[in-house]
Amino acid sequence: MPPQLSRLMIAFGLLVVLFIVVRWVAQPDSFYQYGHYRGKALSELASAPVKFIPRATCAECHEDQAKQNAAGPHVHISCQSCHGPGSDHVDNPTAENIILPVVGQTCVRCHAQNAARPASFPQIDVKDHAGKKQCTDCHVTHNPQEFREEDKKADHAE
Amino acid sequence: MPNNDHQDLILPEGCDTCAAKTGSGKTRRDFLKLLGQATVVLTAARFGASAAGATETPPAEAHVAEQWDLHKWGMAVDVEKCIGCGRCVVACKAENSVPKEPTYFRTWVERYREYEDDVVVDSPNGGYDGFPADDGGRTPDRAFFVPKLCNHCDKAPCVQVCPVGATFKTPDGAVLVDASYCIGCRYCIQACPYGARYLNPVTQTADKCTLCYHRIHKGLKPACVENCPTGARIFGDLKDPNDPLRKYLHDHKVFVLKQQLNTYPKVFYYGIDKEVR
Ligand code: SF4
Ligand code: SF4
Repeated sequence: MPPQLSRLMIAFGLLVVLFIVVRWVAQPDSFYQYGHYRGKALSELASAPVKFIPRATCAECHEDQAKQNAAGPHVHISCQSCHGPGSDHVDNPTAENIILPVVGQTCVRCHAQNAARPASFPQIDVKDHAGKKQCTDCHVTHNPQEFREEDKKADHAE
Repeated sequence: MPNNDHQDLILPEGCDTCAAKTGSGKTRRDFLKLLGQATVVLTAARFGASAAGATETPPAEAHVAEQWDLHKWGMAVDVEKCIGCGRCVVACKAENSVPKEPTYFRTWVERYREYEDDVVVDSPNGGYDGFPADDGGRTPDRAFFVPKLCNHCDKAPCVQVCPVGATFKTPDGAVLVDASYCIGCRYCIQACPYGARYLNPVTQTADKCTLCYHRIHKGLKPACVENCPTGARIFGDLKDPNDPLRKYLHDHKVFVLKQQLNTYPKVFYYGIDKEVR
């Protein structure tokens, strides 16, 4: 083989080898472990911290509210659905790191009349139903089918 | 030509010293030597890295079971139960640190209102603040809310177009983004027919619903499912014949979105009509 050709082939061969090495260096260890992606990404993504903690945790401290809630129609609703994520609050329970919902905004978020809501879902015309009163003036907060006092219930129907 | 010839050239005996002597020479021979050296150095670096990696990795992932193919995750959305409260959107943003501004959503809720002659679809702030009731006095013939999210397509267009392998389908069927590998090229955002992806302005990488992969692998439900007050979202394992999701799919006539695209979604809708895209 003429030397100029063999030199060219050697140079080409070297470049190919270098390419393979660069690729091998640049590619993370776990690439192709499960497929065309970094296998370690699975455990990295799966081990991220959880912010909405398991439901039962709240009841460990807030027994009364949990009991009220369990007796009413909202039993299947997570506390954190209204109160926001509880992970910081369990680590360090203060009033600042949990949401204390604004009365009058929270209930209507679900129960204000809206044509797109399923007809069977309990909805109110807020002005008609409550006038200037707050929901919790009459309804027990964590069990809204209970009323604060019997006379208030009557009053409320006006 | 025989292979050993290059081997000799790549790794000649005492190569380090001969390179030192030539200094800043610009001959072809020097170039070839440089290639050889680069190869040696990179190889050494690689062995160094994998040796170090072997000792570092186990503790970080110790608390998550390394079995990725036990399940096949899926979700059903019962549109007849959804009240459009948007608690799912709020929960999702909090759980997954999704930017608060409108336009960034991993899940969002749309409202469909069908009148005699037109259909109005709206999603103010993705449903994050709920939905206003009034519609200029018009009463729709039919109206409902449709919560949306990534469909975790079995044949996902977003996975196909990713040039680096940063978007991928896990062995348990979730479609995820490896943020540390994503180059932010936005191909996947273009490719997704459901508009399920966005570019995270903080990390400059593609982001979308992970089915709360960090929750479901710890035995919890995704944040949207956990916080839905009406049980409109049903999450479960399609592989397990006794799973509530399997039972739900058995008992209900469900649809998937844009079936004609053959993406084979794993999010199933009950109660939608032909207007829903
Ligand atoms: S819905 Fe979009 S982002 Fe999700 S898997 Fe399908 S194509 Fe990908
Ligand atoms: S939380 Fe449930 S009911 Fe409320 S908007 Fe989301 S899916 Fe619908």
